[in-house]
Amino acid sequence: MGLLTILKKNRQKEKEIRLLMLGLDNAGKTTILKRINGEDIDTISPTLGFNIKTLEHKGFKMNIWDVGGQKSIRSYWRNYFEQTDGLVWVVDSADRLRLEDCKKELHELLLEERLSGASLLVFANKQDLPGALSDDQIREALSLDDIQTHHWAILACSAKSGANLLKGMDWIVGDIGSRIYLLD
Amino acid sequence: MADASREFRATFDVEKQSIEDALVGLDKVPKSNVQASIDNLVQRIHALEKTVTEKISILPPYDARMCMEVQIKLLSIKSMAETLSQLRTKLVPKAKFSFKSRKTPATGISSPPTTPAPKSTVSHKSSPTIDQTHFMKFEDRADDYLFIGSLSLPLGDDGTTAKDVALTNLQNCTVNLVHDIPLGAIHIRNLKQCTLVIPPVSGSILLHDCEGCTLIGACHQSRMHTSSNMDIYLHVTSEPIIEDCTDMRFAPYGQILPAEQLDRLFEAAQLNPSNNYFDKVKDFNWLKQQQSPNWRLMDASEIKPEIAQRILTRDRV
Repeated sequence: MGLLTILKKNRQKEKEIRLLMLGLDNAGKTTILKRINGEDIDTISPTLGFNIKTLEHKGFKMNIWDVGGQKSIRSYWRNYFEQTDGLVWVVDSADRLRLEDCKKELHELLLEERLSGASLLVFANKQDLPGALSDDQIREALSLDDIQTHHWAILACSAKSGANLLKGMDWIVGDIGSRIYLLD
Repeated sequence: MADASREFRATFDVEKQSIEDALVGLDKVPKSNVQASIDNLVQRIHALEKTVTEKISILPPYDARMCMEVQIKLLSIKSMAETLSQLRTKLVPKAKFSFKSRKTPATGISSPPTTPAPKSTVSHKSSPTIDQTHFMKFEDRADDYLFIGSLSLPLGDDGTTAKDVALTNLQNCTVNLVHDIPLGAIHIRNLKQCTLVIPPVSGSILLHDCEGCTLIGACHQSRMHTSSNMDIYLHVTSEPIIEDCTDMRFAPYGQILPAEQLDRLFEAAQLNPSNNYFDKVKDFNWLKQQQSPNWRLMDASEIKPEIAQRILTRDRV
């Protein structure tokens, strides 16, 4: 985040935050988005392109981009990187078979220059499932402690029950806010 | 627009060729300059990737052909980057040692920096050893009949919470998952010539690398990948997707059990029995409006309810 961007943002009357929500397919990205927005979550189809929602939270206007996680569209994730303030990485905590895949994709993203200023929130989703790994196990499996380049946090959550979703949003908005809108 | 995209491809090809030539010529670069040359090439590849990204938004988004062409280009860029990193390790010897930068504490919510999580003795670099015991699973079997009722529940499990099932590397097997155990997600990988009956489940059905199978299942989401020649009898309450699949045939789930019993299973899985999207398949490799060549609906004459019946009656005897 350069000085110019900070000044530009600061000039805007409305405080806008752009969040990008990514993760492997079937992680629950769209379900999280719809749950936060208070929509029905029973008939969510796999995302073919992307969804975008604008929400007000703590005086910020949040634009949340939810981009499909299927392998064939992961190469298009990069089209959404520009001006991203926060990255929300969603993990299916019960999908042990693909944790290695999940780790690889995340660490590749973090090398991306256009995401270098973004705060990273990892949602260890699907805690409602009995086989779900805890946030500490996910933290280790994804080697989050190796991340030196981004502010990050991990939070166990359940899109199904709604548990911890707002807490996560609070953290990322707070973290971004303290970085970008410091000059207020 | 067509001119612009053609022009873009021409410039792209020239730069790509030049990068490839430089790659091949790396062998002749004096050792001391190898690192610099590689860095320079990486930068050029990055620049190239950037142009592709920029152009993608200008090109008509639903022009599937262009998308696929660009995708192929992206793949070739990736393989170039991979060749690069291989070359790098081959040509430039690893530094003997270096000073590690001091670790800055991460901002964790769940475990704040003041109370670091207890570190296991296992090295973080090795892949994490995560127990797979919560999965009920069948793997590496051939020519067998596999019934979920024959599996023991995970230790300490009372059988009331939904469990995930993993089916891996099965050949010519019949799999029956219909039992009184509630099931969550079904992870299926590398099945050949198998027949599967899956009761209504509260999670997704995720399928990879299968061939010549018949799958009968009911779920919230269906995601199928890199598979071919499959007969799928499906009840799914959202649009099912296929990716890198060919020759997929879909039909409705059907009345595989007595109505009362089936209703109860649907309810337990929180599936709406009157909401079936089995015929609204979305193909990630086919963005056009026209019907994808990779899947179709079965004709009435092709639908064989007796397949499920044969398998299910086997365990009532």
